Amino acid sequence: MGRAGWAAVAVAALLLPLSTSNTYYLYLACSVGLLTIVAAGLNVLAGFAGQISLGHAGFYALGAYGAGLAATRLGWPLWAAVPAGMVLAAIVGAAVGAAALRVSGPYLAMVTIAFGIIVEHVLVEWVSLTGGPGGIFNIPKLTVGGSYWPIAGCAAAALWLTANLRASAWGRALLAVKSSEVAAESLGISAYLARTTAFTISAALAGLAGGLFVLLNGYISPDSFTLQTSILFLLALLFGGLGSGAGPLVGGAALTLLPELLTGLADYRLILYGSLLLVSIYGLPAGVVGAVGARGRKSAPDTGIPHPALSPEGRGVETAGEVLLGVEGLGVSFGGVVALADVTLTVPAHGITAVIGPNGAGKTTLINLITGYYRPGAGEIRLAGEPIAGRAPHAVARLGVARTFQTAQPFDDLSVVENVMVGVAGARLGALGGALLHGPGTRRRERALRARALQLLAVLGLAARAEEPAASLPAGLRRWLEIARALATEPRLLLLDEPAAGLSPTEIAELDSRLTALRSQGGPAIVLVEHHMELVMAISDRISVLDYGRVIAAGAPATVRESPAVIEAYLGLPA
Amino acid sequence: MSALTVSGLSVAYGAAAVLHDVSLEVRPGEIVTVIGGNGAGKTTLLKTVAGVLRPAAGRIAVGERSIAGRPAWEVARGGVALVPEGRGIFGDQTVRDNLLLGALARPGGRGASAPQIDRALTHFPALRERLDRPAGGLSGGQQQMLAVARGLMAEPRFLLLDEPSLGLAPLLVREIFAVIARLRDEGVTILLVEQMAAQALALADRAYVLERGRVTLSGPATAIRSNPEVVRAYLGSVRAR
Repeated sequence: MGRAGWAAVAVAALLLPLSTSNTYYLYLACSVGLLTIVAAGLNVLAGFAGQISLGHAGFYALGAYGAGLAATRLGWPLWAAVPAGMVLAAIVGAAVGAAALRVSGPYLAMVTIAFGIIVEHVLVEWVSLTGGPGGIFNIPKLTVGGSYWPIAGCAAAALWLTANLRASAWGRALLAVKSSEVAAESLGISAYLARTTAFTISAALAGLAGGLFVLLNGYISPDSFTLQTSILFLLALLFGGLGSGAGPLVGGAALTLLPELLTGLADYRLILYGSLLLVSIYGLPAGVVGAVGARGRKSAPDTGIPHPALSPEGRGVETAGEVLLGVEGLGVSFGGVVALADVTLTVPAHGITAVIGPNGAGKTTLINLITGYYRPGAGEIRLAGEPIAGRAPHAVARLGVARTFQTAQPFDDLSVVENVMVGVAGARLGALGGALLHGPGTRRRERALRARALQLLAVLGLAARAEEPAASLPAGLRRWLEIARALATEPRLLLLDEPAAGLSPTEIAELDSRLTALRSQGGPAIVLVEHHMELVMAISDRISVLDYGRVIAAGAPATVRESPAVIEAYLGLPA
Repeated sequence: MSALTVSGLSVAYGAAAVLHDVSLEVRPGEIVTVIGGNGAGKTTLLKTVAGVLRPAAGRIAVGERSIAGRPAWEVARGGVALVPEGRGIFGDQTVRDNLLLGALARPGGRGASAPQIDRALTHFPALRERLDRPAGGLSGGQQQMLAVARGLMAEPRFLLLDEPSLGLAPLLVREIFAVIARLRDEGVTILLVEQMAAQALALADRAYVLERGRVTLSGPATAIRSNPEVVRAYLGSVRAR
């Protein structure tokens, strides 16, 4: 939805209570607002972080009962009771998220269903507190007209805050985790922390909507907080458009108003929901907003701003001959199969060290061990003398180790420049509050991140494509983007896993000259795993050859090329 | 009996072309091997012949009948059995069930009888002892044997073997090549894709060397064996600096 669209919605929202005093219309508008708030929260979780919750009616209930009980039992005024419900939902959300987000995908959906059912049953069974199935009556409430303004204001705020979040380093980190968790971790982002944050924000907004529900109705009972409600929430988001700014509003409006327009079908509401779900999945994979094609334009880069370079944060500077990475006696087995045994590898602080070997020799396993994706069974991995074996991928990344993947994994939901900005920011996502409010500090940082990212893109010849979605890049450029993103973390050590795979001869020649240039400009030490032998032999300073998980040769390209052991490993021995 | 012919075959993943104008022929009764380094396009070639991938251009035919672009199950029922790279064993099912599933692609009918399982296991005594164990519990070498045996259950006219030596210890590599030699002696027609060039060339009647998606050498296996270009195809040449 463009600027004009939002302005029209705002004007309509302002005019509605002035143009009608019909409480039915106003009540419907309030319901749209409530659903919009919940869907905006779910958008952070599902649209940005890529995790599905089918239990958000539970947080909605916590917000409602928290506010209701604070107003009735404690006699709090509504302006305090509603935020209290929101805080309760946020705290429980953080706890549930922290516990549940060890799993993700379908397992998380199951866990959240269970959470929703537990909340619903507690509401029914804990009669002394919740009033049981009868619920809580006589909560002080506002008139429908009086509820309209706080609800509309909160809905607008929810949309604004989540849009700000999307445009910040936090939002990019969440989308990065959604596109490729392993790639996000390789840039220093903790996927677990990112998901838990998203879950907490979504729970808080569901709680806020629950509190406002009390404000509007003055009566709550468990019937309003069933699994069906959770499904409705998710459906509103999916129908409106997952990940889009206006999706929650469009979906909230559609799912509130359609059943009212079709009141004759009252008993068939579930069928209607089911059909809508099917329609939105098959017919509108990007939701109504995506189908209309009204995607929010990203603002053009501010070219007039000076480029404050982000300095590498006090990382030690090594001299050329020094050992940067030392791997000693490294071994690992998977299910009794030895993948690597007693591997020793020394990588100096500069230059290109290639690791080659036949298929299945253990090259990618070695990279995964160095970067923390696997835990070694034996041996040492030292980065500038510091042992790093067994640390989590994002922790290793924060020490200055960047990598690329055998299949390039750019973050497809982000633009090219945003991809690189994820790398520049790395673990330094800034204050979450600032990101939500789009504060001056966040704005300054954003400009600096963008400027630095554009600089890198210019160096790598991708500047012309900076604002394009990463998904639209051809295979060769996806590789560049991945390498640019890795370089953006200003690594000391860069591990490239088959960067030439799938590239055309021209692109390989370009890769050759770029890597050579990177080396001569004093770039990071590079570990190159590659099958394209012409490339390996041409640009490597030294080569280690793996076969059956062991190092069978190491040395200068010419030496390795002539080694009988290497020739045998590649071509086999006649029987 | 008709031959398996591939002519002018090109395959691409999205915009990235992997095979360019590849032509080869497998005549009944021979072992033909396609060798080449990693990323040369060997697996892509086999997958395309087996119908797993669609060609961008070119012709694949058994005799006069074109099979290019046909779905994999149809190609399999037409007598072309793929033993995929990485084996593709159904680990949760027993060895026997894996073999019975292989028989589904037999021409003329489904299901298999005990004598057929018996025949397929002639060369794999280790599997016979483990018929009722889950296939996932087999060792890597045994799983490879099972993959080959499963391919044989279809009684194919052409058996496509994709890197049967991959991930196997040298002793097991020798064993699997010995089995392939025995199958050849029984008259099974085999298209063997291998990285282990020396072993494959020792076994094959004819060979093609695939380099960056193109056939750069072809001819009788004995002639290819003594060609120094093969080493260059695998290991490249060192650039003077």
